[in-house]
Amino acid sequence: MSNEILTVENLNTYSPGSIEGKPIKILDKINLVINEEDILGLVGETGSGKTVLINSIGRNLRSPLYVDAKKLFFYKDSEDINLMTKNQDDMRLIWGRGIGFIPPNAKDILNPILTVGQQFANIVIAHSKLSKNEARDKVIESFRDVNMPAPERNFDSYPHTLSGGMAQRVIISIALFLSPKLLLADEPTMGLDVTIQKQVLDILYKLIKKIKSSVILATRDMGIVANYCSKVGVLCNGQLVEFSDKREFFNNYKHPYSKYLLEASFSSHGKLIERDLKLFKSKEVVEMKTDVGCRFANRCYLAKKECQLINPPEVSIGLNHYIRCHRSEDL
Amino acid sequence: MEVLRVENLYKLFPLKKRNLKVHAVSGIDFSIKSNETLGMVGESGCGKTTVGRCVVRLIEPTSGKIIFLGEDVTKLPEKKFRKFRPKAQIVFQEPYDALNPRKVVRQIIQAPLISEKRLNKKKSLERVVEVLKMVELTEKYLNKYPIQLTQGEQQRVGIARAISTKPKLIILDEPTSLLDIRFRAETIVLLKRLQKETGVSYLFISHDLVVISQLSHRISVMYLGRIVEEGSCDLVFNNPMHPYTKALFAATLFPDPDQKKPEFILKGEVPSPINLPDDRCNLAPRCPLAESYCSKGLPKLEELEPNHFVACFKAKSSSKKT
Repeated sequence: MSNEILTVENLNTYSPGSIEGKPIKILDKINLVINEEDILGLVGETGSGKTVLINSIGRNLRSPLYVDAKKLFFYKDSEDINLMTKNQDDMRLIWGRGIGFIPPNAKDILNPILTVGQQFANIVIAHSKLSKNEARDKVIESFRDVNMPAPERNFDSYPHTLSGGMAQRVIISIALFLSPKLLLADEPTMGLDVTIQKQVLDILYKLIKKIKSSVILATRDMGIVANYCSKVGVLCNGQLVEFSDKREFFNNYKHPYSKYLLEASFSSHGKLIERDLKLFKSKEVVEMKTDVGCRFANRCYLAKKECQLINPPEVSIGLNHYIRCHRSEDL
Repeated sequence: MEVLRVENLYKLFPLKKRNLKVHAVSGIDFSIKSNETLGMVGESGCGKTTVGRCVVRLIEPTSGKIIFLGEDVTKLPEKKFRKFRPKAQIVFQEPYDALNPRKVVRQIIQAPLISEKRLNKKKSLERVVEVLKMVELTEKYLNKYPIQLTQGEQQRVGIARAISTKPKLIILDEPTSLLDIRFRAETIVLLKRLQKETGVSYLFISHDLVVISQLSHRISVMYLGRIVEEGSCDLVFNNPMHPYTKALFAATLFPDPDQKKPEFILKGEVPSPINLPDDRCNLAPRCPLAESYCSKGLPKLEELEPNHFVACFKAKSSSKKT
């Protein structure tokens, strides 16, 4: 297909620490496809592998983690780029214009001893042939695009003097400056107040629609997924257990873990649950095995013996709707 | 029965320099009945936590009255106030930081029983096991250190410590905001069940409207040290009247793809609470509906429909017309 941006097939990420001589599989057989202008919301609990998946796709993994994949293709300007064959130096040409990052905790990412304008201008100069003054104008223009209050004055502010919302705006304007085709956003609004979160997300949404990029957005907040994303991927302990279009997902979610997550965020079929919460009573938690079996099996209410022993297959249960579950017929 | 009534509570924090004061709480009134949950919402820095801490006198209010179980406890000397301490407890935001890392769960929960309830070791241990069961932990946990527990279990130990003295009122200061979704839901379910079993009242402080809606009977919305809207949960949710409440609802993202999105956005960010003027509406400079008279007077909380109080000139005039 021509309008695909990213194809991931059979991607595994390992940590060399070993159980019985084998490295630990952190991500297990991830398959996903992202089309142009898709916004994929990756949801899951803490430790479900959202950040690792984002960094695996962006080839930005910190050692000692390492990734292997049958296919990790990124399509840019009708050119297929196999990200697996690229080393760090090659990746530097792809990062920025091809793949952009928005990390969480904007304040920790910004350099504390440079003014925010200066560090942004350095990036502008590195990627273009502009002079210092022209770069300054470009930065202030980008600040204006993200509704930064007093952009001229804040060019000379240090990160610690900015509020969380303002620092996040700086990070967003830096990430979008080169109009990346694919944006990897890892909890972009963590720790912001609701009203500021809405402002920041609205701006982000407006800008990515303007430059027509695709986004993978990792979040724990089902509210963000329901309001901004077009596709949903549910991660459970490193397995992508459900993958679907947003509307299909909220109307017809199937996997037990998705049900669990939605109930934990007080939502059922898109409607808020009123006052009668029936959380799944988790069974006595058994030690999770990472080499075989479904990784939700130890908490699942439908789990059978085979769930513990065999890797769950990917089952299609509708148009663009996949789940990984042994018990798909009983759901 | 009324468990707690707060009248005209003020808390100003002096700054070292230039006689400036931080107006954390500027004159609020509310009351909580027994077996009721009052949810207090607002953005960070609006004074919710200060209210909670003033109520149990972890910090002393500047002025105002706190009437607890029918007695004015504001000016009671510490010795006399002590008998109220076991009846009003607090659960803190950070589950791990609120527990002593060098004591085991048994000692943590035993401490208030021995110091406030004057129980001996054996009796207090029985009570510890009993409350651990109430929060769905077992005797296995008695000799564990806080660091050995998961977030959710730590928070449950915090709750167990609070209920161990059989309080009438528990202040829940954002008990779920730092927890992962799974633990958040578990904690909410647990708190609901405990209220049903023991009839305790909650003052639930949170910034998360989704969580508040699950637990509260009544809601009060705070902005910069004042309550701007108060009413029963359903009324406030279905018919928010104050512009700040409307903005808060418009900004909250509910897990529902078909959510109606009323566009209602306040300008700018929350101003600094240092030396706030005491005679005008604090929201006026940010409010899209503000008229010239808004910045000249201070709107009072008025009952605009039964059980629904709003402090806004505009809301008052528009409700009169209809």
